[in-house]
Amino acid sequence: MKKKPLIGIVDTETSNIKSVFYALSLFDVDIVYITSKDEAPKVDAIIVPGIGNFSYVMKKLKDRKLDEYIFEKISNNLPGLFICVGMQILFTKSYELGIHKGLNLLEGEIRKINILNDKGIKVRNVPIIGWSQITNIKDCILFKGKNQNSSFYFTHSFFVDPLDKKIISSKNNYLGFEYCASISKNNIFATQFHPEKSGKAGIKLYENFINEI
Amino acid sequence: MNKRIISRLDIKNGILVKGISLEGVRNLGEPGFFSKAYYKDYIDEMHFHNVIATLYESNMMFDIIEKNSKEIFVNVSVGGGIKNINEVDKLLRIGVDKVVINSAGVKDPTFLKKLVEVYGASTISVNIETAKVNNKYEVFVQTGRERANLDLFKWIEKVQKIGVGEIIVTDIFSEGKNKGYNINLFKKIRENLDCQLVAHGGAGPKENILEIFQECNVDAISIASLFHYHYVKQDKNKELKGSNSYVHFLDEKEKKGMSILELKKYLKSSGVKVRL
Repeated sequence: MKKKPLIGIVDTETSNIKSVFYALSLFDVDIVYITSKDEAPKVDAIIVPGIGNFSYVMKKLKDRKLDEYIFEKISNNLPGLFICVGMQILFTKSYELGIHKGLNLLEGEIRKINILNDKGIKVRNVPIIGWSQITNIKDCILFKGKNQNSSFYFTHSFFVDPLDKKIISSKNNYLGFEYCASISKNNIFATQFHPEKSGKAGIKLYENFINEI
Repeated sequence: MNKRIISRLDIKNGILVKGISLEGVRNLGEPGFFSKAYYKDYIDEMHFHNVIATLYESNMMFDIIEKNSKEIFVNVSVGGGIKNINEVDKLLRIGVDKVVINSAGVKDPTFLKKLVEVYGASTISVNIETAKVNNKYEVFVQTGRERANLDLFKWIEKVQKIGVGEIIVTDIFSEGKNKGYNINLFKKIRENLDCQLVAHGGAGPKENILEIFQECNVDAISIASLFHYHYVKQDKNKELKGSNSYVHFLDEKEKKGMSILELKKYLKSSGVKVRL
């Protein structure tokens, strides 16, 4: 029998940390909050939840050397699940309220969703808030058993544009604007949407991630 | 991308209540009974509103939220009396995903700016209560009890400039009456608004609900009594916990409820994209 995994949720001090905690609690796992690099216990996987302004989250992580912590854990092949801004900080830089450096574990930029169409006419409201059906574009363990019609809950103004398009596992289409909804690369799993806020379909993603640990 | 149907749950003394034009609340039952039923019927988001926000009330609210978040996996917004960033932090730490600010933002717009800088635009929602005074729409605060001496459209412009991600407009006159949303008001608001717009106050005839999506292009609608009156029947004989109050039952003819599924099926068949 597999040993019960210990999952560390990285506390960015801005996230909906308890919502993620409750989603994980549905399964047979132990959970710990990671509040600083120096005091972090040994865990079997990490989760970086969403919510937060990019540069503020980076600052909060750096204050407690959690940027180094995430970088080291992921570089050492520990499974990681990154949600919303948690996914965005994996990349090179973001244009949210200025230009800010991310962890650069993956190459790419975070830019604002365009409210204009090709002809310069305003067609979209930003932020995006709501449920959307995504299009899976490659096999990813997170989506195992996913119903084709499943919707997921998005809430964001900025999107990830990875340099290596092969890491994109699904896309979302917002009134004609298509962008990366999730990525997977080796031990890195990340979603722009919030699985913990996506009903049963989202909970299934957590189950799939836990089974990978 | 789907349009959102949000259930609004007004809470007082730990009990789900509902008033008319933000006044004269009646007790309807235990919030958990309703939120569970709504989750099962594909509600897209839930908005808990603390009707009277004192510290005592807030603690009861925290209990409701914590209990709720263990079983319900859709976005939970909380509003009513949030005054500082420590309260926002606490709410996010007990299972809340989005905070709704009204009075504190009117009093100090820099508070809204700070919240956007820390939590990002999409986590911060502003609820604007409005009513016509001398033929002009004005902003109200303290759950409709106080005039803010602010022009509605000027305030909306300012909130948008601050970078808040979502504006919930409560039309006080229509609120709780189930007679329909104020189409002209929301049409006018939408003209100059690029962030998320939520219509609140008056949800009733389904043709009007269809109209507010088609004519006003709102991103979401917030519904309280229309759903409560449908689901309350099932809870009629249940004892209320945490209260010595009683359910003031509505006359049968007053009860014009609709289930979430019925509304969503109607909207979908009429061409509005909703999650089912």
